Amino acid sequence: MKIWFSFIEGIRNIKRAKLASTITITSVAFAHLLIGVFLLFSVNINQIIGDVRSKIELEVFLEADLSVKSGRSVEKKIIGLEGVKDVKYISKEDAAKRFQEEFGRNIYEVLTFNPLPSSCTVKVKKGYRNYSFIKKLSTEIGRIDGVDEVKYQKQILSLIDRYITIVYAIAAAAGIILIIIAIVLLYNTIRLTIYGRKDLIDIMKLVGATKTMIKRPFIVEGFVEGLFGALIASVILYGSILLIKRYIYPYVVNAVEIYIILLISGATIGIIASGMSLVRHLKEI
Amino acid sequence: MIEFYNVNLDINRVGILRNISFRIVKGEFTFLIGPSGAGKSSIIRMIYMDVFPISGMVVVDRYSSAKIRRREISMLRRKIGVIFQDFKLLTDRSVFDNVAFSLHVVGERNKEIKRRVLKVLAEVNLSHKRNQYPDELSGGEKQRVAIARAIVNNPIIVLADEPTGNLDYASSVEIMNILERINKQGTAVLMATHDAALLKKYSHRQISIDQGVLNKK
Repeated sequence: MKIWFSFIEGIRNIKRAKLASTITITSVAFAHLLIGVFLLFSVNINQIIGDVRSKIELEVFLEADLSVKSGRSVEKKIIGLEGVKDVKYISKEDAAKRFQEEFGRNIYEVLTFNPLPSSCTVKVKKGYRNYSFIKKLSTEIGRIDGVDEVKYQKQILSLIDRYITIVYAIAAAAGIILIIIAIVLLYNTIRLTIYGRKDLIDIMKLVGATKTMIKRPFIVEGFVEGLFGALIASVILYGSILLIKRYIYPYVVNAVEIYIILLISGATIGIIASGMSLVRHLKEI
Repeated sequence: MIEFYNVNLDINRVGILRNISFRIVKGEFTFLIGPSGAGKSSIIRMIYMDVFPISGMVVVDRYSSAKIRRREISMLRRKIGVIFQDFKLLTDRSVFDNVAFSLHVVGERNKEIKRRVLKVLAEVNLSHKRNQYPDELSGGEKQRVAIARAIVNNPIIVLADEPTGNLDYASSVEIMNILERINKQGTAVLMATHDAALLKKYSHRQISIDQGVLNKK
C-alpha cells in the first residue's frame, strides 16, 4: 500500500468519525493550550528573573583613607576573581559627583568634607548570578586588603533562588500531567474510532493487508489530529500574546520555539496515542 | 490445492469441527452443504487462516496452517477471494472504490487499478453503476460488487459463504451464473450454502457437513 493511500485513508477516517475527531482535536488543543500557557509563563518568568539577576551587582566599599592607587589595585584583584565580569572603580571624587547628580546638592556644601568612601561596583558573569556564588564572592572580596564592606541585594537573590526551583518544578509537573492527559484522551478516541471501523479493518485483513498497512491510516489519523489540535492551540496562544502585548503588558516575551515545541508535541502525541491503541486493540478485532 | 488433514477445531473451548479431511483440486467448483451451525463458515475461515485447528492441518496452496507466519497469512489472502452473505462492502465509498480498495491495499499502481477494476466490473455487469454507493444498490448488485472485489486480485479460489442467503431466487441464479463463469476461467470456487433449490439446479461436487462432522457419501 502506497503511503499516499494511507494518508488519504487516514484523512477519510477523520472525516468519517466527525464527532470523535472533533472531540479529539478539541481535547488536544485544550491540553496544548495549557501546555503553551505554562511554557510561555516559564519563558516570561525566566526573562524577568534574568533581568533582575543581570541588574544585581556587588558594591565594594573601600577603607576610608585608601589612596586611588591602592583602590585601583583592589579593582585589579577583584577582576582576577572567578565569575567577575566587570569592575568599576569609583573614587571619592566620583562618589561626590554622583551625590550631586542624585541629590542635587554639593556634598562639600552640606558637610564641608567628603565622607563618601571610594568603592568598586562589581558585575558578575551570566551563569554566576546566583545567591550561593555571590555570597562566596562577597566573602572573597571582603578578604582583600583595603576592602571595608561588601554589599549586594541579598534578600532578592535568596528569594529568587529559593522559589525558582519550585516554580520550574510545578511548571514541569503540570506540563507532564497535561501531556499524559492529552495522550489518554487521544488514545481513547482513537480506540473508539478503531472499534467503529471494525468493518474496514476486517476487509483490509481479508484482502491481504499486512498489520503495518492496517495501522498506517490510523497513525496518520492520530498524527493529523494531534498536529491540528496543537495548531489551534498555537493560533489561540499567539493571538492572546499579541493582545496582551498591545493592551496589557508590552514586555511579554513571545518565543517562536514554544509554537514549534507545541506542534511537534501534538504530532508526536498523536502518533504515540494511536500506536498505543492499535497495539492493544488490533489483536482483539 | 486445498487439503484438510484430520482437522479438529475448537472455538472458546467449544468443539466446532471434528476430524475433517477433504481435498479441493485446482479449478474445481464445490458446494459445502449442511444446516446452519454445522461448521461451514468455520471451514471457510480456516481456509483463509482466520482460525487455526487445534489438531490436524490445513494446507492451502503452498501454505500450511502448522507453519504459516503472520506475514504469510496476508500473502495467502491475496490469492483468495472471499464473499459473504452480508456483502461486507464499505458504505462510504463508491462501487469503484470498494473494488479498488483491495488493489490499493496490495500497493498496485493507480493506472493498473483503474484498468483491472473496470474489467471486473464489466464481468459482473456493473460498469454503469461504478460511481454509485452500496446503499443505492439492490442485494444482488451488492453481492456482484463483492464478487468483483473478490476476483480483482486474480485469486486461485473464491470462497463464498452463503452468498445467496440474503437474495431472492432470480438474484441467486444470477450470482451462481457469475460464479460459474469465474470457475470456467480456471478459478476454483468453494460455496457454502443450504439453499436446496440451487443445489438441485447445479450439479457440482458436494461436501456435506453436519454438527462438525463430514457426512460420508
